[in-house]
Amino acid sequence: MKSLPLLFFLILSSVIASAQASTHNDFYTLLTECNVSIPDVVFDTGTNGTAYVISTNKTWAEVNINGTLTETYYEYMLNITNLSSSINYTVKLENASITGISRLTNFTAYFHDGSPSKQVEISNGSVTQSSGPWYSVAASTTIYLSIAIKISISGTSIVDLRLHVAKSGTTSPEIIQQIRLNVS
Amino acid sequence: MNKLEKNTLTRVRASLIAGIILMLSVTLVLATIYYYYTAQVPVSVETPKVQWVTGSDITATIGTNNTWCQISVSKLQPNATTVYTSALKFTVVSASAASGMKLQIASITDTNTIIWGIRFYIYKSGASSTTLTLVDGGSVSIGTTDGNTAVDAVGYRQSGANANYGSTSTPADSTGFTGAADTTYIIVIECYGKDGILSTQTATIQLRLIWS
Repeated sequence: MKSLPLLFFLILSSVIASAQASTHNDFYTLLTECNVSIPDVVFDTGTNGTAYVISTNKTWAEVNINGTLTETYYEYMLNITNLSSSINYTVKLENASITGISRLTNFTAYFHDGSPSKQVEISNGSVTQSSGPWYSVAASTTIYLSIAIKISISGTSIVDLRLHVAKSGTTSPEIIQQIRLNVS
Repeated sequence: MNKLEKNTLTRVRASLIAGIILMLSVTLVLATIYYYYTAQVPVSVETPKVQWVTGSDITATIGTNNTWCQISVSKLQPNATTVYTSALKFTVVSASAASGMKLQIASITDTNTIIWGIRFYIYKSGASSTTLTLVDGGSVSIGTTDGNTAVDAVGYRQSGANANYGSTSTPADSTGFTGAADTTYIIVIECYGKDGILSTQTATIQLRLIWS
């Protein structure tokens, strides 16, 4: 009878130790500070589109394009400007999504500031090139988004593109901005 | 009081005294046992099982024993996604056996609501590259991995943002993965800044890498 309290405490201690062992965790702390950066590469209105909508910080753009039954080349659909006076950037386009693709006989997006670079291509209602090669946007310069377009019937198509931006000579951080083209 | 009553009273007193002495003895024994086990709780310094290692696109401040780390995401941009493909690394030290691990977003201080959505991915390092499909569907190449998809991920978002970023509250835990000994892992960060945010605004996220 006298050993009962001792036995009780031995069992209790064992249970507590067991519980502590099964919930033992090690924590390694990572603090992440997020700082807002003013964009260096921004969109601005071109001369060939209509109804331009450029977001407050110029990192998102929407523009209307007139589709034609014969092939038309719009050379200055959207301006893409590097505001930095010291940093060179590279950019490329990626197809995000398309609605009304079947009426697009030809939709080809190029970058150019002299020599064109084919980035995204839709041919006879199918995506034949979904992204393009990196293209240089030197400090304090502007390149242009050009569109070659031909439609088969009247209607509306929406082409969403992503502009990937990275410093020249690096691949990260990579910034992704959005462009929406409404093809009538 | 007659003799019988006196004897009875004496017996009662004796029993009472004996009972008190017994109770005191038991209390003393209990107190001694309690003290003994409290004093025996082992407290010792343990070698860390995980060590932070700086990545290639963010300069990290890493504590003396490599168990604490701070990084700065300096390119959070309004209405755009920023991806750091090698923000930070961590190594499971060779003496550690494989164990369950998870990443937890413990808390977020974002007074100006600048983070629309943020997601942290963990890749096993290696000599191959792989493609990360972003929350909004874009794709980014992740180099120096083992060529496979992320082993784990956890995220946070504002209400109204794409639900694939993750939770709207903290703490938020990743699903978890098995950390292999003597292996390095890469942390990739995808973040989307709310439209109209200003360069004077900041937010801080506290994460925990949990070894269980």
